[in-house]
Amino acid sequence: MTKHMRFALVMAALVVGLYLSAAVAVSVGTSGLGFRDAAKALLGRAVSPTAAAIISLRLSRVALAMVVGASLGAAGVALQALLRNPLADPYILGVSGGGALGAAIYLTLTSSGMAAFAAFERWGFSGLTLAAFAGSLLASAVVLFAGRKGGHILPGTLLLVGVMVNAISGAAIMALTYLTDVAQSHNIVVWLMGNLGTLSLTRGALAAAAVVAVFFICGLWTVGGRLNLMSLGDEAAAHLGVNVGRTRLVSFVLSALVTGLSVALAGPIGFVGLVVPHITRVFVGADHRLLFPAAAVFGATFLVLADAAARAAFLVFSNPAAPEARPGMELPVGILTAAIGGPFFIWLLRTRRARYFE
Amino acid sequence: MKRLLLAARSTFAALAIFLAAAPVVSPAERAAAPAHVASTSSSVAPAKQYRRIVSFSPGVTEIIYKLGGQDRLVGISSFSDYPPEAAKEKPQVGAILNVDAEKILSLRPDLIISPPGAMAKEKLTRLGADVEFLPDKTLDDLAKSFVRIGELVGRPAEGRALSAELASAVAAAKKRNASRPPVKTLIVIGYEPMWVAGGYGVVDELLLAGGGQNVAGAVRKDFYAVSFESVLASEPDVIVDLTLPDDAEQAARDAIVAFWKRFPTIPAVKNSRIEFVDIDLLTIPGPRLVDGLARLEKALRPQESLAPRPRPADAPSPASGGSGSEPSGARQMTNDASRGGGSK
Repeated sequence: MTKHMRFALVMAALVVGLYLSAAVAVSVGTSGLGFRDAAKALLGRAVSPTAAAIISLRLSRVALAMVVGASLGAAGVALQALLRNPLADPYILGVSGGGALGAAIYLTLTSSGMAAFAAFERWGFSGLTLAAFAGSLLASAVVLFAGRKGGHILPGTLLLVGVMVNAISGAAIMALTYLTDVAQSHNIVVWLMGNLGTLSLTRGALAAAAVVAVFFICGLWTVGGRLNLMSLGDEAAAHLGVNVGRTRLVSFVLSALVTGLSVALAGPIGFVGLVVPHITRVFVGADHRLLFPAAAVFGATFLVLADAAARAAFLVFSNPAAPEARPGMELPVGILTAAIGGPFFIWLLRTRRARYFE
Repeated sequence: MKRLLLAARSTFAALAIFLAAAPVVSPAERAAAPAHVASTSSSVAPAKQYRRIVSFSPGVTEIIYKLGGQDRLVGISSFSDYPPEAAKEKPQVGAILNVDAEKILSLRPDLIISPPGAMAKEKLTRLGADVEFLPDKTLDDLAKSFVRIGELVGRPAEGRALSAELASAVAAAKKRNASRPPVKTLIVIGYEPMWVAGGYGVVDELLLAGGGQNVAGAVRKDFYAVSFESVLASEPDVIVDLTLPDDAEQAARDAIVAFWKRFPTIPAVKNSRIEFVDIDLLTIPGPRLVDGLARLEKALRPQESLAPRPRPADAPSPASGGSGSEPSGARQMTNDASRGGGSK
């Protein structure tokens, strides 16, 4: 089997998996509508307007999960390669801390009303989303500036500066959470858990975000070959014609942008960017030319499923005999990613394929 | 003072051990013993006269002012902003998350009144003052707490009257609405994430009394983050928004209405039944709940409240005197309240 055929097969399998997970996800939710209703609505058959609205809401949510999951998966691959550290994840370089600080400042300065969100709305994004994105970019710029010496990115310095920026942001967030009123501090805490249930995001804005994310992920994909060579060591890569400094800069900037986007859209959803690259590597190997698209598609699948689980979490408590008494609650998806992904990853480490980590 | 209290406490501890060991003391006597030393939240203890009181919730502050006991109030919690003179004339002592212990000590209170809770208990019991923890989650709690605060500030008659006023306002509203079909209602206190009033507590009780049916009532919490899918599925006929103060600008209301317009399958949206009530009127557990109830009732049935009185037989309603009867400017009037539920 040629390399190209293998690539095509792996990607086809992953895309089929993504479609299946999407089918599961549109069939699950607190209202109790199932696969049959979803299929009817999607095929344009007659359903009640309310059912159609619910399925459409779920679809937007699945789309958002795909955008965020793919972004985090790809950015995780890039940063683990860039920093040569299996513990690296998209949030390690201060992006999440900066984004969270932007969000916390915004939540502290405004009231909890929708009016405040609408007041700063631009291009279909809420003020909260924009504040988080601005915070992410600012933090990344600081990390990039402080993590360079003599015009070169030094991975070790970059990593430590990123950790420091996260710590500083964390202190500022704690101060804001402590000083603001109870309702707002609660909102900050909930935002920090990561949540795909955002209501302020319009369809158009979501589509625009998806296009931008795919563009950035493809950008990362193009440096995949050079990252392969750099895993041999900087000098070897340089001898083979790789511009090491430029490759690092490009992969840092693109991961920071794509991570900032996902933090802005859904808060800092943990764990996906750390574990999705590892799981993908176990199954497809360490070739970054395959790893980037595979981790993006698998990241999307993983987050779509985790969000479906988050929305179904309370259905087990409902009484089938009294559907009107179904509790209308769900969990923030950030709780589920680690709760599902952690055990799965430990199991994977115990299997025959775990040699990558020794 | 503090040392004295500690001494008293350890004496009591020794005494308690002794009593527990002595078979002659009846369990009832033993149970009653703590009332003399530490504070209790039951009204079993005789109301001692307190002169320097710190209120640790906006509701307690309002109640004390309403009862006319403010001359004994030496400090109030942050976020106590009603009545307006309270915030001007009384020093603030922080809130539960950030108790200003030094400030409280410097005010030399003899009593702190606070809602119960582990954190409140931990932070307030060692400040040298008696502490009275008064639950304020349900109308029942409040009926008791109005009376108790009346006793504590030396105005027992006023406390009982206030308690009776709230009870009769609720009873009158219940009576008015008993024969009407309940209006499916969603009460929103925050967006992003969306927080709504669940099926437990004062807001839910007032909604039911006011002729509503809480579509988010299956979750037995006072407030919770609702899944928006469930909001769509529950098809409320009225949405009561509590996120804006009454003096909010029209633009703020428009922004909220514009948000809801994106979900036109909700009957309340389709029929322009997004109503606004100031959150303080319904969520601060104090005397203004009577106004909050009147506003809620009016929000649920706007045309009917245009008539002077729907059913004269129910006339003697103490709720009618509330100041909450001013028309709230930007009300979207409806022309359809007759639709039934269940359009699935």
